[in-house]
Amino acid sequence: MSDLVEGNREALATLFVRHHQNVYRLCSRFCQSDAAAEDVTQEVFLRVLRHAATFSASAQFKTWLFRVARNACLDHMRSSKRELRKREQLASEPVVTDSDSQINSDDLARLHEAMQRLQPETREVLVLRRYHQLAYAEIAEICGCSVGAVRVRLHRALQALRKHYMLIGSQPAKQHVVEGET
Amino acid sequence: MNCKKAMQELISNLTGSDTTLRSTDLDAHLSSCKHCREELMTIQTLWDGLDHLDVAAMSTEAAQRTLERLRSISRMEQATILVAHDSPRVSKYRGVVLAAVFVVALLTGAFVSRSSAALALFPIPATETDTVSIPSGSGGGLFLFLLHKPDGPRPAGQGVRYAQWADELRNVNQLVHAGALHETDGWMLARDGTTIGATPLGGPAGQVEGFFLIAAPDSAAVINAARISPHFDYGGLIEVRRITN
Repeated sequence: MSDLVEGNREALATLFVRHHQNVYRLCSRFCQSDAAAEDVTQEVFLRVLRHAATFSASAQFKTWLFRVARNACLDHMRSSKRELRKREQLASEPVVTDSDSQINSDDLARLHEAMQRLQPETREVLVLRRYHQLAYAEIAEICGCSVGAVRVRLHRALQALRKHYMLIGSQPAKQHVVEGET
Repeated sequence: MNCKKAMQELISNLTGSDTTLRSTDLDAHLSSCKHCREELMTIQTLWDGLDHLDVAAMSTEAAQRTLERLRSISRMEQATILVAHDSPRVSKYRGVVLAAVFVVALLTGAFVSRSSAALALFPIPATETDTVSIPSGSGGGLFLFLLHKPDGPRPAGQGVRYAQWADELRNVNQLVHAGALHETDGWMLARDGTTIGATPLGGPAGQVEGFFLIAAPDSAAVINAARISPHFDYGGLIEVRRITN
């Protein structure tokens, strides 16, 4: 990163090779779309290139990078206004990583859909905590809120997830439910 | 403790970054409240279930495509790409390293170029050649990996995997230098400096197409450094040569 700050633009390739998978997975989970994730990943690294000078050497690079990624995802979802449609289209089925899971594939599909129905701002805390194992303080820095707010948002996110999960289970056919978790 | 407080504590315990023991109040509440016990089961199942919802990794093709788009945009934004920084420091190993690189050029019949064409195949960031210490004794030293061209085409985007390999070796301070050899830009020179002909680098399978210069403490490290190469996945072979002092 220091090379990039000093103007060595080729250092971007090094950063990309090291971090693109983490950024891509984050974008994929935030945007709930592989195609969008590729575009947003590119946007993230462009922002890194253009705003490298704003990076403080005392900051954690990963936290800074995730904040850039999070903002790029939110911008993408707001500007495209396709979030709702994408959630309905549900392009990809969930990938079950462990056949010994306590819940079966139908339940996983319900859970996947419940995740899709969460508002992006609600989903992000779950993603950062569950998949990227970030501490509350790191999530707070990325989301620009207090640690207490992270705790509250995580609580609400889980409650909302449970609500959608139960609703989907009680519905005979797939039907979109307007979120009302707040 | 009421149900609302109990639920707050349950979720804090479940999602907290530190392992927190359940309070006796919560245990007492759970033992008497069937509703909260069921809630706990559901939320625990969902939390665990999230672990099994994975997303696909970025494919090497997509990564390569993205990296090249980034390079292209970067080029447009800055008229010239700064490919590498030469360190102003003079290392006691610099002479050895430069000699080794020269040996590569002689062995492969071409002078190593850090041109954009070479980097397009192997997008390997510049290495500070004077930051790697070269072990001696116990079988350690400098080793040259000559990457022989595989038989048949490789999928697009393979460059990222080579860069990742370089990165892994750099992380353990073993990578001295690496690069791809230009497909056509090379010459066979005679002693008097006259050009005999073009190198056959773009030719058949088996031709050397790239190199990695490794500083390894022993032969086991050399083998391990080669074993993690993506080159084998594409059907290529790696010739390992020790650099003599």
